[in-house]
Amino acid sequence: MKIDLSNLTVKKVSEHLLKGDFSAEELSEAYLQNIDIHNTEVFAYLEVFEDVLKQARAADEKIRQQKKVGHLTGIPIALKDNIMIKGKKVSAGSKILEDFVSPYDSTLSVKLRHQGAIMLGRTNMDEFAMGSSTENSAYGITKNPHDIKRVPGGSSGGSAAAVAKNMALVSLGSDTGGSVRQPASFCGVVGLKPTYGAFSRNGLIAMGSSLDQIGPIGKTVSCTEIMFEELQGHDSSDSTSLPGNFYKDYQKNKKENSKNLKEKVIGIPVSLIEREGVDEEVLKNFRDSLKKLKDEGFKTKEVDLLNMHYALAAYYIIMPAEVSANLARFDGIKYGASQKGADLMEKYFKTRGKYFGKEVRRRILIGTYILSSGYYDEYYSQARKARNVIISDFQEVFEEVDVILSPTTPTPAFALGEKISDPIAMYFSDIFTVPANIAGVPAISIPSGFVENEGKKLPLGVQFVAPYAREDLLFAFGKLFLNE
Amino acid sequence: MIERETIKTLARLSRMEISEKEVGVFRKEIGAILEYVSQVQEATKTGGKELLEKDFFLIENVIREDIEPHESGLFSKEILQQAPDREGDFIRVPKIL
Repeated sequence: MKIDLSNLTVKKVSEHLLKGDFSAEELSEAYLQNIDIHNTEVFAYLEVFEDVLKQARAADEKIRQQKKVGHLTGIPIALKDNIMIKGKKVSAGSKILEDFVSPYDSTLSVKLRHQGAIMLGRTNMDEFAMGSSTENSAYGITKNPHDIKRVPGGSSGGSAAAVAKNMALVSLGSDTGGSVRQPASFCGVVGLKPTYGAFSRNGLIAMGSSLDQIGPIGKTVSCTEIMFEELQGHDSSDSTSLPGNFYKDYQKNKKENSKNLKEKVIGIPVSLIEREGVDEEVLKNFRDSLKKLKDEGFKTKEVDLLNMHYALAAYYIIMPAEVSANLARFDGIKYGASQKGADLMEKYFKTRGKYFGKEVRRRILIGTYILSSGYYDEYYSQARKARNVIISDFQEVFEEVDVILSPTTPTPAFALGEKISDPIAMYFSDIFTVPANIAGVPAISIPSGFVENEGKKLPLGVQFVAPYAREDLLFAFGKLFLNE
Repeated sequence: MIERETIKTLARLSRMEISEKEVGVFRKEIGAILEYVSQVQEATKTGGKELLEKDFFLIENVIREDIEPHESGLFSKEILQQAPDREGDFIRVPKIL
């Protein structure tokens, strides 16, 4: 059968593979051909793995033998360039790891391999996941498939663009302040940030350890739901991994949602949304989305997330503090690129000065400032306290409503180069996504239509946020919103 | 506003070479970012002491018994292969003292 990549989902692919309509090898060949056609222009992939067809044949063998066939068997997936696969290069978009080969597997790549998923390649990203446009990659700029003069968002821009352009069925990104949801919104696909600790981070190159979470990207909510269910779970190799019983009510909740979702209440943080810097087109699209949900019979309620205004400020203290600590390990001695120096100190200075990009160095400097003894109380301690206030606001609001709805981003995809020299303008694009990372709650971005700009249709997205472990609500609302 | 000397001190503390030109750029950008983030101090005025100092994430050390090690040398080859400068099974470093 002729494979139409634009029309596939994880569920459909599984059914076709089991029925024998096409093989995993044929499917992978179709993706490789599409990558060949589009990757030069879009530049979603840094590397396409040479063993894709070998992986596909192994998946076909699994299916033929009916042995350990799972929901991800034969599913072609792209991985962000900060998730380790043993024996493959992984660079985190940085020159300091240009020739680094993973000496071990991330827990997620073990899970994927075990299921027989097909890992297609590693996708482009802002260096060490620092950025909102993928322009900070040391290897080149990824373009938005909807308008190649615009950014795909970031930092998981390659993972979102790959799915949007049918260069992968699904992908994994990492989300520290919106790095899965914001590019998903800019590229017109679905992106989930699970509850902090739901996915193992063993083998993820760290950025901000109290914020980082790996999340799936797909064209439908169901695709991300299947990925979530297959990949979440406790991991003793990740000390921040949630305990095994954290999702014990998940199936029960799903069943209840299928019966009484319409009784749920959607919270709207009006004062957060109706503010300076949010595009009129985004607001209009959001009001239309809200109307659609009201027409479906949902109750909505205006909620006060009073301190959410401070989430971005708290984030830009906590994150660089953690960055400066996490990136201290790159010293030119143990692994990675290295410069010669007369003594050890000079070697450190030269290596780190040469191979870290500008955004990375700026964040390390800020983190160093914030953690220095004279300023620690003024910035870091205050941000920790603000974080508590924000968490407490979420908890109060979730006693009144079941989910919180907002736009995912304040603007559609912006032009290449537009914000690269203005860090604060760039940071503002994460204004709606950062609070979920600060509080650790799960959130999903769902495509909500398009806005016309210079003859191009640019995607927009809305974001649902739920209490801890309530991804089930995100999937239920998302599927209803997209009529899945 | 942050001083040029402060930027140089931060670069020294974080073991990173930065050029004179960059000192100026970073000074401007970091100054603006610090000004923006200092609004965080407003948020903490609304919360009581108990809330501000609460440990929401129940931070505790995750430890295990130091038993059942993996087979000796299992990862040594792969890890040593990543070292930029080595001599046999040793990583070579410049003179320290």
